[in-house]
Amino acid sequence: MYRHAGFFFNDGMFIDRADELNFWSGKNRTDMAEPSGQHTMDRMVPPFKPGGARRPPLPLMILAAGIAAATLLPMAYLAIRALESGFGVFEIVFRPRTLSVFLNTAILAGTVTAGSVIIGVLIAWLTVRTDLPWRKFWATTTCLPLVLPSYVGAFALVGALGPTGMVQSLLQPLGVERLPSIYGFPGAWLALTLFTYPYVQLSVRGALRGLDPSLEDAARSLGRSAPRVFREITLPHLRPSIHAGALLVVLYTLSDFGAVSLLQFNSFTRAIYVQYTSALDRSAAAVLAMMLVMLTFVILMTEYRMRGRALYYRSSSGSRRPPTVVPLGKWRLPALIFVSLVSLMALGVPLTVIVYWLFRGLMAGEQFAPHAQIAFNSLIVSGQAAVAGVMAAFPIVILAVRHPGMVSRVCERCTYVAHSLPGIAVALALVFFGARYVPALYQSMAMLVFAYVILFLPLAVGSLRASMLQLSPRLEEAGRILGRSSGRVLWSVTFPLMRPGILMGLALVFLSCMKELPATLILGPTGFNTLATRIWGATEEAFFARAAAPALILVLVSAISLWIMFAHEEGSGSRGRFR
Amino acid sequence: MTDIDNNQKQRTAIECVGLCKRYGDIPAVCGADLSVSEGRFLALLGPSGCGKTTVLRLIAGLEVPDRGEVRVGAQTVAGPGINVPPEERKVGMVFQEYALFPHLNIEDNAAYGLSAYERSQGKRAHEVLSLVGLEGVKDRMPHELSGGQQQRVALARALAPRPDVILLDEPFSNLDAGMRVRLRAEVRRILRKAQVTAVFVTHDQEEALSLADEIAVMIDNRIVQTDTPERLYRRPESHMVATFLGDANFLPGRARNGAVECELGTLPMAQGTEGDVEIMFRPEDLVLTSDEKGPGVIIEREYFGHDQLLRVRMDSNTILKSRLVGCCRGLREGERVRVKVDSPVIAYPSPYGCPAEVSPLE
Repeated sequence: MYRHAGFFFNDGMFIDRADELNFWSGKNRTDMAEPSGQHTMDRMVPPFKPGGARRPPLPLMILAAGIAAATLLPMAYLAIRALESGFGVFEIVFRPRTLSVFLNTAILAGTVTAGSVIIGVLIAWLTVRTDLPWRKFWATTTCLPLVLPSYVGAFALVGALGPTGMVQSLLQPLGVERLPSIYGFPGAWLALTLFTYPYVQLSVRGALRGLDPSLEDAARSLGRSAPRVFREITLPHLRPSIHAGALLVVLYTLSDFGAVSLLQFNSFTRAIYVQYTSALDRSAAAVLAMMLVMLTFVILMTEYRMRGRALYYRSSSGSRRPPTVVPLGKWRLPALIFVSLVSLMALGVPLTVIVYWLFRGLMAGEQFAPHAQIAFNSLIVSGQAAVAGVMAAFPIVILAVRHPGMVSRVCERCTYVAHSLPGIAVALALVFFGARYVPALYQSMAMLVFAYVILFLPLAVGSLRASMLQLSPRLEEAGRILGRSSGRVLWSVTFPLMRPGILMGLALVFLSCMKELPATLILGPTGFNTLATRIWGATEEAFFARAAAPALILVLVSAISLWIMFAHEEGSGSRGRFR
Repeated sequence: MTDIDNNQKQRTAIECVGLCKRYGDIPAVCGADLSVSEGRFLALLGPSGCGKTTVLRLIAGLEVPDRGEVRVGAQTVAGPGINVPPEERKVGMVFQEYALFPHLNIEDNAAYGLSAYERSQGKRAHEVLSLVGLEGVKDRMPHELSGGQQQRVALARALAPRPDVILLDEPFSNLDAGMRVRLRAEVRRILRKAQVTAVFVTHDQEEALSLADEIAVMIDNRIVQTDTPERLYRRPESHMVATFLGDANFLPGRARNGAVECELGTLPMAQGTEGDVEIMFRPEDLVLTSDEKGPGVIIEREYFGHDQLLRVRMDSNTILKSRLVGCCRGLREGERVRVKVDSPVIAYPSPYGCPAEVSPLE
């Protein structure tokens, strides 16, 4: 579900790139030629380069390439499976129902992104640059909706405003027979906007805080009016961050399954699922999945081509004055109402609904024993995926960090592909692939774990990579020269020093798996339930009380994972000791 | 120094023949030949980026040469079809950044290279730590030590497995000036006591001259001259070496029968070719005498305390440098002087063919 947060933090957009720069400049060598980007790095002589000159050992290369291929193969198979139906493909692609699904998806993605950008930028600006009362408090509460997986948010919405929801049952005695329907586009739009605007807000907040106020002052001193300064100076500086946030929102909306399926809005992910579970011929599901994958690729490619310049658009980090505070004047009250309303809707309502249904369930004698089994299921399968994911990440990371070059870059990039694709498409690809080539694994836990590894490998790669970049290759060389083989050096020097990164990778993969919904739904063995599938299933059948306890557990889990990400982001600059 | 000179016929500890290494299109080492006798200290001296660290890494086995051979003792460790991994070369190395393992305490760091048996005994780690005078801190972690202490731990760690050869990469560059001078003598003492052959890389001439038995000067990825410090300073084999190591005066001249004619008259020649040459002499060999009718005038004086550097412009517009030790002997800027070269000069083949084009200084 919000695994795109991982994309945000780990795709080399922020942390990785910054770490790299820190690493190189932090070495503080007098004879360092020039600040090294990715390109100069490849050509540099050894003192500046971590042993990358030597050709990577063959076994390592084969292992890494194998892992990279394993993450890509199922996707390739999805294409084959979709094309197998021959001309039937065109029949499916061009039928009116497909067109309406496509339009639904596009409209939803567009409107959610627009809504998120408006809310996100406004809140970021209000909490950073104005005299809004209790700015710190609002900055925190408006970010917190990130901890709600979309299906939990949808559960909250349905549980509150649905036909048998909280509001309805409270209003029933007052003679209200029927609330306006929450299902369909309005509900899906509301849920997704409320739970994705923090991506924009966080990204813009960072840019606003990084913006050197002297730039604005300089523009003012050169005779520009305040609104023009905002348009000519501030906004261009915010554009890359808005861009980055919006990309996350688009990808999130495209890949979201929980909210659209629970709110019964027929976008791609829901249509794929319906086709997959109800139709005998699964070609339609494959074709739809392929279309969704292509749509995602188009967006990623467009973004990639536009990214080039934007990435280095950040202002310098010299000592500077705190940003100028804009007095809100008569807009203070409306602004206050706005942030309160957003916080209430995105955070207050869901938490209230969860607690409300928890109590309703308790009073109605809802049994909690089954939840223990389900939580245990989640724990076991996520734990296995975490260990497998970190183990699979190691060869990729060692290759990428210690032997930078074409091969290692390709391998690393490959692992990101599946991660940026909708989980339902990846799951479907695995279903087809498994049914055809490894029927023994079909509907097994192993298959589910494999899907988790593919989906969340970049989270592990990102954490391991960051911690390995902080590790001077001289340490490993010292180990070799002191007479230990490379394997033993890995064991006695590299691994112990990378422990924080390893733990972080384990935690991130584990927590992401706990929250994963579509792949679990499609690939899980029959009768196998996790917290996520339980919330989804119970909400769909309007057993809100049954969904409350798992939802509460998952919110806690998400909160922990979010906290880890932020702690890491902040700590990544200050671990100079191991350099 | 003398007993070392007497033992010159010792066995070779390290030998490099025709070493070449490129990184992509960029050459790092081009045909380096090097030979170090057992028990001697060799300094690889050169400006930044000349490839000296690469030579060290090639010897250690951290890089694989494109061409050439490396021998440690009697064994060929790198060459055509041969590449002994670093852990089997019995070579110790002290890294510029020390590379102490941050998760191990000082004792465990020092013991890292020992066999499991020796580690359990704990004797050898103790021995090397006392050799560098750091037994007292064996339970501390690396980041709790000062830079100088870390450096000595790195040295102890490298010495612990009793390597035949120890390599030091810019060993003093991360230390402040005062510490550097003290540690230099200390490290020299420790290495002599451990009776190892050492190769160290530096860009600091003073460090190389004071610490090494022999210096290999490396410029532009090539080793241009290997000699004792004294010979290297007094008899540099090329213009390049002469300017790199210390100050030098150059003048065009014509050599014949062991003497050179130049604008300072006919000077005896210590070594060099016949014909059109460029002569070199050190500033301390140029003696100035105050003389109203002398052919030169002092245009600049830099006073350093123990000595001073004077620049003299000759009537021919040539500028010469003179280093005077001791008191100033009344020489001031603007004063006219007579000049005399006090020792035989070195002659190089004239680099330009046409002596007039030689621009001797700077």
